[in-house]
Amino acid sequence: MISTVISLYVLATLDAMFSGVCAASGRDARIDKRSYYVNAMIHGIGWGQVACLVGLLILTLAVYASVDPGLAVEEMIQVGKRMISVYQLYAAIILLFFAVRAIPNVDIRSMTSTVAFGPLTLIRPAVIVFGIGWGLAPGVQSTVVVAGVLVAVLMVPFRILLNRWFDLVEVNRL
Amino acid sequence: MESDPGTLRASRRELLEISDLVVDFDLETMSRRPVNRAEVVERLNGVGDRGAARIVAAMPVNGGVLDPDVVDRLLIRVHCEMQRLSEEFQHGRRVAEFLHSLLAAFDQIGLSQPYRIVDIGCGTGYVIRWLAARAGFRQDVELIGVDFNEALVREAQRLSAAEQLGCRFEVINAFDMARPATVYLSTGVLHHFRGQGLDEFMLQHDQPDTQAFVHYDFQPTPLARPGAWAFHYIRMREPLSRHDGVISARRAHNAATLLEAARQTSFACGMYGTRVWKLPIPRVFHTLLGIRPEAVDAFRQTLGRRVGRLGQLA
Repeated sequence: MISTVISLYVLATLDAMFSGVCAASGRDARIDKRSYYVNAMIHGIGWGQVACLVGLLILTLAVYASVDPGLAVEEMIQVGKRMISVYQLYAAIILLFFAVRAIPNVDIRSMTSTVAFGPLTLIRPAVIVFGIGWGLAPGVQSTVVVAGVLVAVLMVPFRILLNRWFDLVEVNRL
Repeated sequence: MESDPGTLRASRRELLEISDLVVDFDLETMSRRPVNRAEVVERLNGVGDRGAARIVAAMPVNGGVLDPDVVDRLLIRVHCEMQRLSEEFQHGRRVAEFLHSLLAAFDQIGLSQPYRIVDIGCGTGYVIRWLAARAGFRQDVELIGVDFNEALVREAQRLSAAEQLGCRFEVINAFDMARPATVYLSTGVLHHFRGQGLDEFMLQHDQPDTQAFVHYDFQPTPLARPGAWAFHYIRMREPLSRHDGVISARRAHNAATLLEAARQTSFACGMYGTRVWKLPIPRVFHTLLGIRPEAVDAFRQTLGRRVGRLGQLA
């Protein structure tokens, strides 16, 4: 159980970190943006922790609302394990392209953006929905299904909400 | 039934970029002219671009005239988003690699220094600032960005001052500068010139001190339109960025049109980097190069293994 929770937490935090970078991109025109992006990652991770807490709250409420709390926890762990198998693959592909991007060649680097990071960003909501759907597919009690749907509702618009937050920061800065 | 190509061309929808319409300048004095919002909306509706018309219709006005401060702030945001794409495409590094070869060729033929590189339509000056920060040019290589839009130039100046970069930006017509450029450079500018305007633009490069021009622009390929749409949809936030980005790719000139205009000058002209390596995959941008004939051989040498990307120079 612990390893499932930790794996999901690490994957969620990684997603939040990259979401921070995505939401901050295209807002700062300096050439050297290392500190800017580090700051964006920190903000992404910070908001990611808030989302994780909300997710935890949803799962806790689902357990208490269940007619069989013990079974609900057991089912959630099974759902989590199946979700991890999907999200791990997605994360591994992203990290693989980061490794490719380290090759100091302008064509290879720009291709990682056009061929990899762009489309991978586009399919992120679909991956989240698929992961949760894959997790729930074997069939679980209704409270666990509701919890899964609510977690999806939390995760899918996370990047959009982070964008709105960066919009506000930008307006205040101006 | 065969259609007359002329009729087809005439009936084809005119493609307009919002950013070309919401600002207007007096080319003599470089001063800003007021832009009537209703006229812009009508023009966009007239070419059937209702989406663009809606974007402009939502812009604030003072007495029917677009608020210049709001337009300036919007264009700065748009250029910031465009810079993101340039960063992803490694455009600064790409230009630097090319210019290093070009300047090395000039050294080889014993050209008098210092060299002056002028970026035409520099916007917020990403390319020039990148070159100043990272290209590692000698101190005697002058880096100058020029644009008609004062707000964009002010932003470029602010950004370069913030990072203490060795470059400068001016509101001036690039071809009216007291000392012409050794190399004229631009990114995403050529497609703004159409027909005779493109010929006139190219002919202005023919100045005695100018040794080369290097113009990067979208390459019109079957992939360009869906690619531009997807990429701008994913990466851009401003509706204007999304709209103009796609229209730019659709308006882009093909190599034949560019070369026809460029070869009216006394430079040896050709395309560079149209394909990814030797694969049948087109690059997003292609490069129009014009170089003095006496520097061609040296340039082929200094390009090194990248010489295979250089098309026929004539």
